[in-house]
Amino acid sequence: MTKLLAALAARCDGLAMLALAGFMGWLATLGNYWMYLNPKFKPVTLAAAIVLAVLGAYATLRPVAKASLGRGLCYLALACLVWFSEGGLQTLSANDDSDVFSVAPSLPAPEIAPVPERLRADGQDYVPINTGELFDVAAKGPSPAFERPYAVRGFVHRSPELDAKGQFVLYRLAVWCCFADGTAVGFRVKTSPGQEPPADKSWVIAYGHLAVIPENDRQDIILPGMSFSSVSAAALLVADTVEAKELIPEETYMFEWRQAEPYAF
Amino acid sequence: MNALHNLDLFAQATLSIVLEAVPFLLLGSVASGLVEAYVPRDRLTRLLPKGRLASTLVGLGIGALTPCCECGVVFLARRLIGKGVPPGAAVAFMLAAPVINPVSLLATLVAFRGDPTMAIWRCALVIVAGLVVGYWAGGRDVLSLLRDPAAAAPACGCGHDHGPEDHAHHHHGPATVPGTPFGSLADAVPLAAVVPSRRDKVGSAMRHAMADFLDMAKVLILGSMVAAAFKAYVPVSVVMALENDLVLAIPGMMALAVVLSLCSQADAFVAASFSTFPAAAKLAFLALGPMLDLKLLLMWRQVFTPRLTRVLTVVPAAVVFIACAAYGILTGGAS
Repeated sequence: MTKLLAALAARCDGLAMLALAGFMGWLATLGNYWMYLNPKFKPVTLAAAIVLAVLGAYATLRPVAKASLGRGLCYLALACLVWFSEGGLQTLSANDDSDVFSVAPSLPAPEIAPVPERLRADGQDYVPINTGELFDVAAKGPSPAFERPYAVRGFVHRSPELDAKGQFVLYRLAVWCCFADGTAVGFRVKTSPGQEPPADKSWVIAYGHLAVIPENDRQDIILPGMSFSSVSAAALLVADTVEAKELIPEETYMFEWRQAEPYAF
Repeated sequence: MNALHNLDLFAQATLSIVLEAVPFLLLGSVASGLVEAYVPRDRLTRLLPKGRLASTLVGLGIGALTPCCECGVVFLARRLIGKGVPPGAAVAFMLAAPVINPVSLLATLVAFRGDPTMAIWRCALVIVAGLVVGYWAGGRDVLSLLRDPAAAAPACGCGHDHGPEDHAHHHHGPATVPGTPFGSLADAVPLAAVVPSRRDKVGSAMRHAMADFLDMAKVLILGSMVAAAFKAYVPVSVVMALENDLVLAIPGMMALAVVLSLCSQADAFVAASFSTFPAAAKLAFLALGPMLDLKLLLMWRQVFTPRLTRVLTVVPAAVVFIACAAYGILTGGAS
């Protein structure tokens, strides 16, 4: 029994490498990879998983180091984090204080419908665009692109100050590399007079057009939660219609920004 | 926000950093293993010049060609000095190699969306610091640099006082870290594996790659957890206070780099996540971290004399602070 334990302990490193390789391979093929990394890195992760599996198998057969308590604790911590992230802590913490970007994975991933050329609301066509792409359009200032009608989706952030102005912030998380370096990008949205702003933290599509924010009304807005944020200070979206939508977790983050149509939405 | 919610974010952020960095760490480890197994070190030693400046420059040049992490090179530097490599070359190599090698450069480029500015400045600062410390070390006697020169002579890293021919007596089993909390596993690989026969070269490369990876993976996991905890638990207002003030942001990020002790092939991704900080502060984080951090300090204390340890601590910190402050002033604190 002691020999068996010693043999297992000596192979702990190799087994941990194999487990990590398996997790990476699963994420990149069947799992909720989007929750951690931009999907464009899937081939890199998959290749790394294969190399790691080879090294892990070798380390299991021919251990390179004696068992180490420090490394063992690191593996245990990593396993716990995987469980936290994959196993439903999101569900336990889903209350009014939750960060909207910490979403529960839905597996298997649902089919994502292709983005149509135009979205229609109240008899008018709108160009589908994401907040990152619209941020670029707004940053370039008044132009033909600035004047066009746009449909943008994202989470709602409300505050008493914004409510008083009949406004809310619409935002999404831009993930270039990984979740940890994500930045929330958003816009102030001005609702039509008399229209009730949507619920805080709800997922909506806003249909409208950009308008320059007067100098005396520009302000820095810090969005709640861990994410760094950029809310356009120069322009806001004047909404014709705001439509509540069912949240599809896979659409929560933005992974792509295009400079022209068709936009990534 | 409640505790569960923060734990949730912490877990997701930690995993994302680990998953992002593992391929680069692996690439570095495999490349390091191949270099270790296939590049004869004694030949390099014979080719090195003896002059202070020349040997320091050659050390930097070799560093540029050697994919490795900062943890592995400390014991390698001691080993090289013990073998007769000019100290200036070994010390410059030790400081600069973790940053100016192709893998770290690629990782920095990817993390900053292909913008080479940060990678170029990071290399420049590390080269300057490596040059200064290397030139200084080049003019010193080995006895004034190594804590225990005799231990370096066998160049096996086992810490025992014996020659290479005596290795067989204690290197039969799996290699162990020689009595140090952060000793590189690569340094503990038996000499037969360090200088393998042709038949064993692939196995030797794999063993070194695994040893490097296991060493660095532990540091990466801990560093990612600290970085993620910073993002999940430090109030946004604290971060904002740092990011908006160049005077606070540069030393703050330098301190963070020392505490986080991140791997040089993964730290660029962590730095990039501080997206709203001044570029000068991110540069300070990137330039200092691979040259000075907590685990390196512990390793230096075991390998080098207190005097060299002080120089290794003060000079890179001073170079990075002065250069980044100037860079921050010139760029107006832009992020």
